[in-house]
Amino acid sequence: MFDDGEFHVVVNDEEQYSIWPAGRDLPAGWRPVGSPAPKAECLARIDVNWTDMRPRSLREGT
Amino acid sequence: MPRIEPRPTNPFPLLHDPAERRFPLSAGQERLWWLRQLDSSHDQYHITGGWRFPAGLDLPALTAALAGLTRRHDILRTGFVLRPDGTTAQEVAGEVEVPVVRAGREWRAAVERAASEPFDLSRPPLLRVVVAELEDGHGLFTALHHIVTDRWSMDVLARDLFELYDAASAGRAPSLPALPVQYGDYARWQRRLLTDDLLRPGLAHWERTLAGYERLEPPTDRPRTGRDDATGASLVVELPEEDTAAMTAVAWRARASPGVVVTAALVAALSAFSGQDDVVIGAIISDRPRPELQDLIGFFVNTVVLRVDVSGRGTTFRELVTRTRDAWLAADAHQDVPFERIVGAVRAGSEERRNPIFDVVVNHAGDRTALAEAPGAPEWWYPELPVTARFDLSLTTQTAGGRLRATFVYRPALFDGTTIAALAERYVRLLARGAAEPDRPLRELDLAGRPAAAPVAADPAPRATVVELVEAQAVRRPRETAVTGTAGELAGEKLSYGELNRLANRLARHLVARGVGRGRVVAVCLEQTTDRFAVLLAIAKCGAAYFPIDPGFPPGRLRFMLSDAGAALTIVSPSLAHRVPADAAPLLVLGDPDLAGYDTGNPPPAARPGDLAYLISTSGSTGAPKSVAVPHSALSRLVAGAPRYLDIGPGTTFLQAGPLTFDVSVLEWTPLAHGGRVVVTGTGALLEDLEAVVRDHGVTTLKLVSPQLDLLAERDLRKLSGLRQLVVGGDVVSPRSFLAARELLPGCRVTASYGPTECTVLATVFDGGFRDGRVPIGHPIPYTRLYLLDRDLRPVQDGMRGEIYLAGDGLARGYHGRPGLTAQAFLPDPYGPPGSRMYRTGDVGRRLPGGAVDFLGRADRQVKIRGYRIETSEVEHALLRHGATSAVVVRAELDTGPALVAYVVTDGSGDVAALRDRLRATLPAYMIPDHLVRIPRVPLTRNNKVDRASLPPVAPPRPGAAAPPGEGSGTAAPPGNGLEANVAEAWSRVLGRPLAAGEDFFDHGGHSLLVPRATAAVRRLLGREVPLRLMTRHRTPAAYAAALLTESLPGLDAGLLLERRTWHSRTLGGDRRVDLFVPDGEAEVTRTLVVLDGSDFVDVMRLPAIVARLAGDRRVPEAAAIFLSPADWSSRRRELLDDAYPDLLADELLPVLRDRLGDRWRPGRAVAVGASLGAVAAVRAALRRPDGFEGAIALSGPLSEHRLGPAASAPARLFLYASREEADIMLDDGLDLVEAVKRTGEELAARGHVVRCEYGDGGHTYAAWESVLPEAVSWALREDRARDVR
Repeated sequence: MFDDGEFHVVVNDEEQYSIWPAGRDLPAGWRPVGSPAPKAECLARIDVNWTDMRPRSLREGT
Repeated sequence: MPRIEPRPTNPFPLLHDPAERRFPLSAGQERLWWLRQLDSSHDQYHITGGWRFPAGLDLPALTAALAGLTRRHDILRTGFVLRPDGTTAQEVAGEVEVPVVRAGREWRAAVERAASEPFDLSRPPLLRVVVAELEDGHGLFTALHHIVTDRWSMDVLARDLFELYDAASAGRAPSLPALPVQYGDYARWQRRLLTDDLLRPGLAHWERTLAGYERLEPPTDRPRTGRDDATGASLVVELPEEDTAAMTAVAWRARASPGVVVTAALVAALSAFSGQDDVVIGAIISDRPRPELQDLIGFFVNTVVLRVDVSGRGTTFRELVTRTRDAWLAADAHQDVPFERIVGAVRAGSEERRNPIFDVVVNHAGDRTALAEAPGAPEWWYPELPVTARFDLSLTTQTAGGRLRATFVYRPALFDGTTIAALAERYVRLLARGAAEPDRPLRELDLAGRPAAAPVAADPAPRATVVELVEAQAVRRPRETAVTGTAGELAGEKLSYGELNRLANRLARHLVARGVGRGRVVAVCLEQTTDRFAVLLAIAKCGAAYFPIDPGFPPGRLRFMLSDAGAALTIVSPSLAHRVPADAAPLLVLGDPDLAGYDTGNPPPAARPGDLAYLISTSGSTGAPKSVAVPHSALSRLVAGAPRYLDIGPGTTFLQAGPLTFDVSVLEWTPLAHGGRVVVTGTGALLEDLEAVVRDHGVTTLKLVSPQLDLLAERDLRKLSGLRQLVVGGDVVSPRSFLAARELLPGCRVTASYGPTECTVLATVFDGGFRDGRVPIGHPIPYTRLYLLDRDLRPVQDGMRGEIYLAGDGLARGYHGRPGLTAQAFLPDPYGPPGSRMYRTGDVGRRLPGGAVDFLGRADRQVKIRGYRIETSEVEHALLRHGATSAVVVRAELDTGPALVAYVVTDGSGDVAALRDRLRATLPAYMIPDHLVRIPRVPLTRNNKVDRASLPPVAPPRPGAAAPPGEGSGTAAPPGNGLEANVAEAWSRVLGRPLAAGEDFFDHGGHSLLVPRATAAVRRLLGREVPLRLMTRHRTPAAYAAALLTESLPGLDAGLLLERRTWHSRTLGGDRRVDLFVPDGEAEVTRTLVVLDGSDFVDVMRLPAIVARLAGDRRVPEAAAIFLSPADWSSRRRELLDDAYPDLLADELLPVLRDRLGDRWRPGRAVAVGASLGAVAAVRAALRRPDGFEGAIALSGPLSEHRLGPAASAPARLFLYASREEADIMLDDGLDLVEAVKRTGEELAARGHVVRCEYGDGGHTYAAWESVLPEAVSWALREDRARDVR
């Protein structure tokens, strides 16, 4: 199930956050942040780190 | 390797008893016998075999050989019978003749008939033979019932038959191995092992193994119906020699048989096919545990359950082979537990049309018996025959010529050939790749070699914002109407594009002056008036996002929403201002600020594509509300693609009937961006005014959600004529309403749509044709991608169940201020452009041939009850097909356990019971809701979604309730009857545990092999035939008793009318059921029978039939009958013996009949009828209330135990009866029941009453009473009495 096991916190160029199962090829355009953790922990980390949900291009006005 | 206990050996000696002719059935035979009882019209359990005789057949030698064969194998002279006690037996006949059909050249029909014609299992031989003339020589075809043979036995049969034939034609003695035992000996030997004590550890094993198992539910191409269809089709695939060798090597290394490896591959394929990790299938194994059994013909096949856990992201093929091997070993070790006992132990129910526990079986016939290949054996002949499918899907594998041959047999009623071909292909791929690379994770094996997901053509949506688009329309068509409807504070009933834009510009400038700008949120709480678009457009022009709030919400919740969204301002219609708290965000009341001073020109563009256009709060079924934040780019994507599927250009008028808080309102931007018109007006919560609005405003394009369409379909859709397009949203669209719209609105395009708020209102649309009574959700709209993915986020094959993911330009930014929640729902999209995201909808669907997507349900609305995974939407679909206007199905936790509850809305005439009957015809029983509750209307949330929390709770079932409670639109179910209680008691005895009237036999340890015994108990009770099948359809004592009664209805003479009512007694309190039988017509009624205890002592329908017949024969005058049931069966005894009971009968019950009959009622007294304790009450009524009763019929009453009446009373006519067998019933006063009747009769006669005592046979049973009733009734009711006085 996509709901169990460990996950990576991942982020794209627009600095949007998501999660991805650890050990699986990460889709292009995303990079992991930190080490894998259970899902709830990843989501908690995202809650802390993703403070501005605007895409980066919008924030920077490009 | 885990230690697996070996199979225990049978400690009893296996001996031949030449004297014995009657044996029990083996466990397997019993199961086959049972399956046959369920459906005698056809039988898929035939085993056939044919052989070629190129040199021709010597018919006399064949006859001799067949005679020799039946002499040699007792089983071929065996018939199967049901004994009166409900047990089965096989009886060996002395001699039988095998029917031989000489079919000549036209043999095909004869062969087909021989193969398909049902056998009478009680009449041996269960073997028939056809001799055919082939192109070269003869063909010999045999068909046997499986209960006497199996595949292996067919090789034995061939060998024996040909040796006997050879010997006969050569005139020599046959040379065959001696048979030390016969099948009956085996069956008895096997049964000795099957005692409860010996089975206990095995049963415990199966209970452990199957604890919490999930039924495998591969997605079928057609819904499962209640119909039985054994028609099969087959598909053969082969594994190349090289792969077969590799597969065998993997087996060897895993210390497993090749059968294990082929099973592991099937498990993997099924897991991928169904999306389930917990795979439970059946396996067929040949079981001849002793060498003495090798040369016997007989049924030596066992079916075991294999449960294999496929979970684990990295599970390799080798690991799966190991798990499968362990499952096999454990199953093998515990195979002595009969399958039915396992079914009973795990309460898997007995699904009449579905195999318990599993629907898929594997059968590896890898090790063929050596007999088949013996030198000199005749060549096999396989005439083509229709395929029968005993299971939904079965896989038989066999190695021949170094290649594995896999035959899939399936039911075309459920699966398309292409689906099975895809499964078979997947199976072979998994097997080949697994054998080649056993240490690769299964998921990779499954994916490898499949065409990669088609690369996405990422054609970006145009990015012009709605602000730019509407401003452009204002330039292009300044005077054309943009908005019509109810006048608001700022605008009249019509607003042109120019006016709309100017108004919005002024307001925007005012907003900017109040600090509204990019990145800000402005809450809106607006009436459905024309100016609302000026407000929304103004907010957008500032670069801010609008956030509709619902004035109906409590202030606390609104306050939370406003501060959660960080609203800078709330714009509110004056009439709603008092509803909105002003402390969370300042209020701007429309009409308050004077906008006249502001410039009407366009303000400088502010909103960028990435800026938020709006927030929509979704209540969510659980937890706090969350707001979906949608950027302009997503709104632009909706608006840009809309003309391709929505009729919204210039000259069109669009209406959607939802509030602004509902995301469908966002669609109103599409006509405005393209020069069409929008109607904004309140249409009432139930759309009372919709038809008028459509007519008055010339609406061309109407968007509804599915419950709204149902509402309109209930009225008259023709009132919507003039529409050019009707779009119906919602995942389950009623096909009835959808088709009605198509039919009643000629020239109107009817479109279904689907889409979560997270994908900006719409994701797919559908306007094609559909089949199987389901409206698909269709194809993705422009700039939108839809994926159907498995749990590993990999695309499923077409036709397979997958979770719906959406991607493309329509995705929301996320949940406002909820980063974690957003990250969880918006995932990296492996199939889109780099860095893009996809939204996990939580919906489940599959792709139909042709590409449209079919919505299968919510991933979280799949419920599990008694091991079955039930898609509630599947049941909803079925209810809609069968006439419900709307339906919501939920799983409810009741006191009696989890239950499936359907809430239905039906039009006036809709009868819930009839709906249930129709459901039965199309849905398997486990999907039939336990409760059908009629509700006037499906409650909706403010956003027009089904409000599941507001559905009424189901009333807990009353013990002993006859009908499933909750049915019959709210009136209390009539009190139950004694037949129910008796059935419950009989079944409880068979189960060995108490069963309540409302409890399902099969959910409480019952299984099909107990059915004959349970039915036999009922037969003894009623003294008549009852089909075994009745129990599989009516599984609770209550339902069964009800079925027994209605079943005997046809026998009721049409001359009597039945009226059933619930009646409340003043004297004793409580509601009672009263069944009134009144002669049809206008004739006077001079005689009445009052039957106490309702149906407790006789089939309630039988006595009226007897009375009607006697009246028809003119043996008695026209009579009415009243059946009275006690208020509560548990206190029946107290009630019948209550001193007030005779008064209740005379003063309360008889008037019920008098009222009913009116003028037809002739002053006349009644005869009370009762059995057992009811007999006491009946005699008391006659003695104590001679004003109401002229006599009594008292059957098997313990009369001497009770004080019957006053010493002196008016003479009564009393018919007293006892059965001679009742002499063994001892009463408290020391008399037996027969003596009690005799003694009481003498005493009453001495007191001057007219008494007739009769004695019969049959014991204390319904049957005995029924047989005496005609005489009793005609004596009691006859007009000319003088002759009878004794």
